[in-house]
Amino acid sequence: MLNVENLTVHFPIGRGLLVRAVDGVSFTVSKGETLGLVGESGCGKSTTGRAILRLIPTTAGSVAFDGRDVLSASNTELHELRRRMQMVFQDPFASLSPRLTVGKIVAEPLEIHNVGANAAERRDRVTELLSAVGMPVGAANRYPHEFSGGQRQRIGIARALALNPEFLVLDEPVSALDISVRAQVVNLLADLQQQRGISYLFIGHDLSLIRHAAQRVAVMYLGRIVEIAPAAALYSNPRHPYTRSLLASAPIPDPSRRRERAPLEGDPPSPVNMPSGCRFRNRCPFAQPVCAERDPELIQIDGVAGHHSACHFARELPVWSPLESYLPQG
Amino acid sequence: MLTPPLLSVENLTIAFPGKTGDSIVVDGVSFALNRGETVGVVGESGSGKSMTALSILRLIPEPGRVTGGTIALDGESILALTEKALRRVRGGRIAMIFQDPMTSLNPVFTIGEQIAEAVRLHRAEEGLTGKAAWDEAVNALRRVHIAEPERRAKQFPHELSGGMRQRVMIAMALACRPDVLLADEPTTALDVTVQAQILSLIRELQREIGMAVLLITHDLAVVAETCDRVIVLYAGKVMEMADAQSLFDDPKHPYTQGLLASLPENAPQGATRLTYIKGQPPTNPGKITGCPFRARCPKVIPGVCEKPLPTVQLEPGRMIRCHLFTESGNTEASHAER
Repeated sequence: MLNVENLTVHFPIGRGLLVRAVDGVSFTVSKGETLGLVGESGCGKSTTGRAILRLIPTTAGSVAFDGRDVLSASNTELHELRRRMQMVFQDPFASLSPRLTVGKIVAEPLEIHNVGANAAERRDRVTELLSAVGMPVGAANRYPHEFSGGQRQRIGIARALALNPEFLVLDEPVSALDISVRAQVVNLLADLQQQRGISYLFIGHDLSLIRHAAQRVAVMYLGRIVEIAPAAALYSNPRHPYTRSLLASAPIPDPSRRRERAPLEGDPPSPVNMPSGCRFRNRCPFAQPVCAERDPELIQIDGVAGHHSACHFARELPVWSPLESYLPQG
Repeated sequence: MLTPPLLSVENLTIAFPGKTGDSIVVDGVSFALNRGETVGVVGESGSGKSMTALSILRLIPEPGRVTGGTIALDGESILALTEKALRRVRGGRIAMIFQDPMTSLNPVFTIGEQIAEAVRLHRAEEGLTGKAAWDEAVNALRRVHIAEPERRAKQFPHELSGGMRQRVMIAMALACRPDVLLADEPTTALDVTVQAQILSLIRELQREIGMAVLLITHDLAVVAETCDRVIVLYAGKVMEMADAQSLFDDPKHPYTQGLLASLPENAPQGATRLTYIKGQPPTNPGKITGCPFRARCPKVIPGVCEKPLPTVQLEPGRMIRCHLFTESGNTEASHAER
């Protein structure tokens, strides 16, 4: 359904310098599938999501949606493609206009795309959408500030669903929400996917949430995908040292599994001035001389279809056992 | 005779006056913090957790005010201190760090100058003035594992990464060797790898200087990793208080149970849906009489939960505020289950 090849987004910042925000990213998303895209701030995950929808210009690469080229599409074609590809933003406070009623916000895409014969038909559609995302009756006539964060995110989802899209970029859709509300919105997204067969690119930094929400997961570091695999394989047998650092850093909600970790040292290098060879080598506990010389490519991991890691030693890394680093309490 | 706790908060109530009367954001909160321990205060937005922390240093934003209760450091009331005495406590015996380090760092001074100023203010008696205070600032940066501390000390906050600014704020907070560290969502804005660095740093420094930490957070996993005891706040009230292991092994309050069950880590294997708490937290909890959680509670007992919240001591160190654990609640609950 979605095929991203070698996507590259560079931002010039003057004096001939480039921020290589996204630097040769390739992946596919199938119909009805959720691909999780995880990584830390500045790794390029949100930029990737925006570039796919052509919300920002790309430097190189291709994005094909249902066989049609998104990046070179004419304005008319793009207008048509945007009906089918939509986005849900992280911040439900910043992404809804405070001056429009909720009904207007959800009706806007319908008006832009001339969906519905008249205002009455559009109003019915808005009512139906708001009820599909679990908003109370009468919400259409109220303003965003009258609703809580979780409800605002539901409004953002209703707006994204207005044109019956086949693909949604979810950019940290629940990160701003309270725990008890987060699960409600995650369930809503799962239900909508099941009912409508929508594909998701689920961008996030919460590893346990992505594990729950996605069938496959891609891990980004400094503009590159360093590992991509079916969720079960990625979490049980990570084959990139950076993925291992991420998993080892995530706290576990169980005091009896408290562990003393060797935290990942240092900060990521600047995306303006990348290290030679592997971008992770300066912080990598497994780094060897070859890592400074050659930029590793994604290689297939034996035994698991679709499991790839961009590490020279992906196949040789020791067995992953997070439990070994657990210490008894006290 | 038992020694009094280092910090004790009794029946704290905080209100914000409004057009339609006071809005009560913290309602009768009591807890104690002992030397060297880490206590987690968990709650969602609007639960009053940050206001509780701010009130300890008398930093509640206007027009909010403490309308009842006491806060005492080593038995001495903080609420009764003069402004001058309060300034010695702030940043001296009690330090605070925030989610956003830019709110506590001054953009126009170098970080070394800012830390040195705090040292001069609170540790002059130790001879830490002038150059000695600067050297102590550089030491403080070294202790939080900032590479090249001499060079970094001469930089401005905007020249540092988010994780490094957080470490600078911790260095500043700890340079005066406080007895109590109030940490309000100290790692919420950080990536997981940086969060792990900061949490292990706080633990390490805590062991070194023996301070007590009050950790305010919404993140249950962070609590499980770092806290000895946990206080669960909902709508301005303490719902449950327990040692961390008991709370996570056997949560008693329906709200705590709901929170833990809604974590993706606790979802049954292969489940496509997460367990969740229905409804939304109340927007003006002060208006609710009786249990503030009852509208969302799966175990609500009509006719009982409207009554004032009981405080039930289940065992030493384990407290719960829920009608299910009182006699009337118990009978009714077993009734309802049949």
